[in-house]
Amino acid sequence: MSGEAPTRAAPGSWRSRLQAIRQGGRQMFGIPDFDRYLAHMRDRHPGAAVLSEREFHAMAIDRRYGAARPRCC
Amino acid sequence: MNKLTSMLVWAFVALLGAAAFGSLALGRGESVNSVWLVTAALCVYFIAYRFYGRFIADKVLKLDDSRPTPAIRHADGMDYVPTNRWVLYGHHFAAIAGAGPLVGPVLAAQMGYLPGTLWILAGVVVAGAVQDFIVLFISVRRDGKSLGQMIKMELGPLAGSLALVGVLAIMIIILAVLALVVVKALTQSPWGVFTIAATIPIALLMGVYMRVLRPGKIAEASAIGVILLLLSLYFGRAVADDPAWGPLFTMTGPQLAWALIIYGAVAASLPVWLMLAPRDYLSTFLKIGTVVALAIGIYVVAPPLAMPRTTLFIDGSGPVFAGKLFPFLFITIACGAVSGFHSLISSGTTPKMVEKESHTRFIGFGGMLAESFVAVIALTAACVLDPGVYFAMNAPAAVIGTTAANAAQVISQWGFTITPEMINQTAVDIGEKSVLSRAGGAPTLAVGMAQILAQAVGGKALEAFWYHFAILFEALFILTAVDAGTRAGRFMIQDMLGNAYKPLGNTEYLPANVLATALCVSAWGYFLYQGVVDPLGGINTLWQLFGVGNQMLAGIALLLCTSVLVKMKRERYVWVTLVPTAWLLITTLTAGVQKIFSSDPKIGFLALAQKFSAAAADGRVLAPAKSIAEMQRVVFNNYLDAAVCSLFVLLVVAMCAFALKICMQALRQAQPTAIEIPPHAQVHGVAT
Repeated sequence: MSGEAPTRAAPGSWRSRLQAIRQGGRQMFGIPDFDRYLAHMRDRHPGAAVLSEREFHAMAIDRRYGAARPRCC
Repeated sequence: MNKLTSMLVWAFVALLGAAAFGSLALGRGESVNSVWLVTAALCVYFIAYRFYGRFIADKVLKLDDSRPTPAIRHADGMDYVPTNRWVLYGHHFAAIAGAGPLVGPVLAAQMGYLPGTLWILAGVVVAGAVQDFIVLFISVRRDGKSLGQMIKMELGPLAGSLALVGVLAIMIIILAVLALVVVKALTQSPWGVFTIAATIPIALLMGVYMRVLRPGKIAEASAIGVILLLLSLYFGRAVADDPAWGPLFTMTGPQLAWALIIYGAVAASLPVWLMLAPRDYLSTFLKIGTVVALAIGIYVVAPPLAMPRTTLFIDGSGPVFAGKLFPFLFITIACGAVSGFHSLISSGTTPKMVEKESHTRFIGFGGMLAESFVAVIALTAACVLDPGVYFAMNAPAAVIGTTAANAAQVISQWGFTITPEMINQTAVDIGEKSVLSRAGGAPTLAVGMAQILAQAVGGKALEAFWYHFAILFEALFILTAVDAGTRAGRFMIQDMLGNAYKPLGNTEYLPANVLATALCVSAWGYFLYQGVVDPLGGINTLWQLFGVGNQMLAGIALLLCTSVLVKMKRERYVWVTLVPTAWLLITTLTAGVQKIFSSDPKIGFLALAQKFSAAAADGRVLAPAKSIAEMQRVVFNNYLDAAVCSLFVLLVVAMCAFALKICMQALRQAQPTAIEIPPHAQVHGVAT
């Protein structure tokens, strides 16, 4: 599954709205969006090696919680 | 919006707020409805956001959307992601909201509802929201750097190192006090212990689900988690009543303290995806859901405030915490008004996700207003309780004894009439054996919540269920904080040890990890255990120590903001940060010095240590200690507390000196000297 171009719904359609809601919900919990990452890599670093979805999420969690991340009271 | 409509709307909000305040402050004799309190708070928030927040954004900081934010400059699709402002608001709020705004206001309710309400509202507008907003702004202008790094950049390396020592000390105290809140809530409560224990396997299951089975499917995993949690809550009652299982989950304070210490050490050593991350998702869901439900519940049920406007305890004789309204109210209500910890979050993940500078007002200032609203809700829930029940739950056993009859007699003497039957009935209603001396905020809030929510849904039959749901919700995110805080403390300790001996700083080196984790856990574990066995209740000492530390950190963050404003040559507006800085310094230094040197042993650590040490020298045993050994422990702990408190006081005085020196230097310069990313900085990654 790694490296495929993400399917993007036509802007304004119900599907794209649903995608936006899902993306937003995940980001609120600190989970970055895989499709967005693929899009970023395609636009900015074409041809570079891309993480698989599994690797991407594993790395995102380790990065978010692994460092000295203080928690609030 | 049309100018006239806008004026009319804001005039209406202002009038509504004024009317709400009028009912709160002027109503004669008759009890006031809690809806007024919540409404007054909401009006203050809207007006503060619209006018003061905008003033700071436009005039003081001059937010500039043409400057690329770190999310744009370093966009990597992972950490640095330009994020929709509503989404980022939710993310930021979930990160700043914890147990702090729930505990402080509940303790402060002993002085009546008005002093707490006024400080929460004034504090958030003048200090808390300003701090969160400006720290977020200066971090965005500095590539998302952390508070420690920014202090190093703007105030010098020594100031940066000192600030880190302070952060570590505060972290240790807060971990101890949060764990103590959980111990107080779960002592002799098998139902509670079972549901909290069940969250561990549930989190593990979710962790494996998201890592191995369905990566990144947070909604599915959380739905499974929530369902399992509700099941454990439902079966918890049967487990508690079971003759075989019940006693297994019935634990004493010291047993729970040890359980938490072991839990902290183990949880902080597991991979983050296995327990910390899934538990964090669960607690975020519960946190947002519960606060919203409670706010709606208050409007639906509209309970009257049972607590008087002010009580006799503003003179400093209160049983929940000792000390007069000034300065102790201002350190007891920490997080809902202003919290130094937020400066760490505002310079953490949030600045790396801000899309435009102008969004920082909504996220920083607005996010703190929501946190303050949580504090108002908590205060309301504590104040709709019968004051007699409130004091029975929050006064230590040394004051009210250990039986309902004794407690009712003592509390009635204070003028809050209550019968032993009422106290016992409260315990029966929530499915517990006793409610006496469950200080720490969580149980009180849970009873208040249970009464409000039960009136909205389910009636008396569901009250016990709501109570344990509330305890679960608080314990869940406290345990997440214990886990995450122990990890953060470990990294900080390794960082410091690394300066002394290089290999100890290597976070990949197992013996160094184990050593740092052990140091961190034993530090907070020590304070926790002493708090649990302290017959005076522990919370009254530890919470105030935390309050002093947290508000001092806020003072340090605001000193940084002040220095940055001066270095930006915006000294005209420096009062925006100087006024809250001054107020925080006045209250915390007064409180800190009183906690150390007051001659009243109820307040001063040294006075209490000397009193016990003198008695021990004569061979006398003073209540509540039971032996000379216990007396000596009291003496040692009070010297230790005095030392921690002195550390906070000295740190903040030193930071003042650093900031003053930097400001004087900057004032002599004709040009801005703040170290920002230049306005037309290159956007990374585009050229590659």
